[in-house]
Amino acid sequence: MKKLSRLGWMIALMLLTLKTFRAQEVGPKIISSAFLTFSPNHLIKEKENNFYLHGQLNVFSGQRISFAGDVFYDLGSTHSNPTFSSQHQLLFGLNYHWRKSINDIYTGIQPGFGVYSMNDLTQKGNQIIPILAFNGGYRIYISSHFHFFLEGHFVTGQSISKNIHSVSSLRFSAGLGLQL
Amino acid sequence: MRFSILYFFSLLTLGIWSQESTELSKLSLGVRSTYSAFSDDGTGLGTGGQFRLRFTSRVNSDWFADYIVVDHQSIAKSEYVHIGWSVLFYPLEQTIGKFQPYILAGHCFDYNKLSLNSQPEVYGDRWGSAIQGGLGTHFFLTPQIDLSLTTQYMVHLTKELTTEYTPTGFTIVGKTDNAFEGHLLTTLSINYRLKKK
Repeated sequence: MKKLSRLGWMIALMLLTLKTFRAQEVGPKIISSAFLTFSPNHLIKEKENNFYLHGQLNVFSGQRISFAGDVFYDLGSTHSNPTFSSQHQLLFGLNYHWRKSINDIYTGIQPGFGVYSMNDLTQKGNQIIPILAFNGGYRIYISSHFHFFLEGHFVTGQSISKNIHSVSSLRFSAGLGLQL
Repeated sequence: MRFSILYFFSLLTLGIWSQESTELSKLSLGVRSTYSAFSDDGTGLGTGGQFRLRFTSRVNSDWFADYIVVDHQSIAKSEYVHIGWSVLFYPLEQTIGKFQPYILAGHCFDYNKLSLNSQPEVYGDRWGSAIQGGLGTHFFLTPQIDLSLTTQYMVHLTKELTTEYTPTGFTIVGKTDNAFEGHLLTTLSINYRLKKK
């Protein structure tokens, strides 16, 4: 009976240790987060730069996975005669997080749509383009409500009008985010 | 007495765990990106969404809608809208690590609009239907969330649109024969399986 009781205690302790370890790995619980920032963008093939107003909403499902929706609103190009007069994007996908305490490295994939208009008077109107984005980033949670972030997006797709233009681009975002 | 305390603690710990493992529903929601290749048109990219309805442990179904834009030989833009369904059959009931391969086949309604790049007002469009079949695999990030990669060939059961060079320039015409043309579609999807209430 005494032996059985000792074995029982050992099992209970093991279960509790496992539970505590799991809680430590999980860290502070975040349900959702959001940010709004400015984001410089480089169109790879056209060798042009522009700026976006970048908004993101992240909803977490557990500690490893978050669903991310991103809006990129074009603020204008630095080029004197840009290929596109405007190029806005809407993305929705998933991020996978490797989180340790307040540090969070993540990578993700997001299908989406872009609304592009050519900088050409003979080609009026917007065209909707399916796009695919890959992203990666790092966050540090500085308090229960705020975090700093660095994030990069690679967006791919093609615009088909009078000429075929690749819309593949690299962009970078950084700033202060909010945990909701 | 000591034994009963131990029993109580064990039950409490296991109880907390069992609360975390909620049963999953038959329905999942997802977004997808599709690469279209090996068609008469050329290559292109598409974005869409889907929901899945799981009938049994071996049989699932995809209900999807995609918008795909394809470069038609640098002459025209070919836009496809696919709305359809596929049945997924799992040859293995269990996962292989985090993977679960499947065979799929289904049907869809498709709309195609082909417009000239130089004159977008010159276009042709058609409604049709198609059948598709292929292979794929789920990769489970968690029991609730998976990434799925599918490669399938879609055969259009309709006469295709194409460009034709005339003395006045290019124009859009319907092909006279039905050669059962189609395209190879490679789809990457992100799926979230809902929990049972």
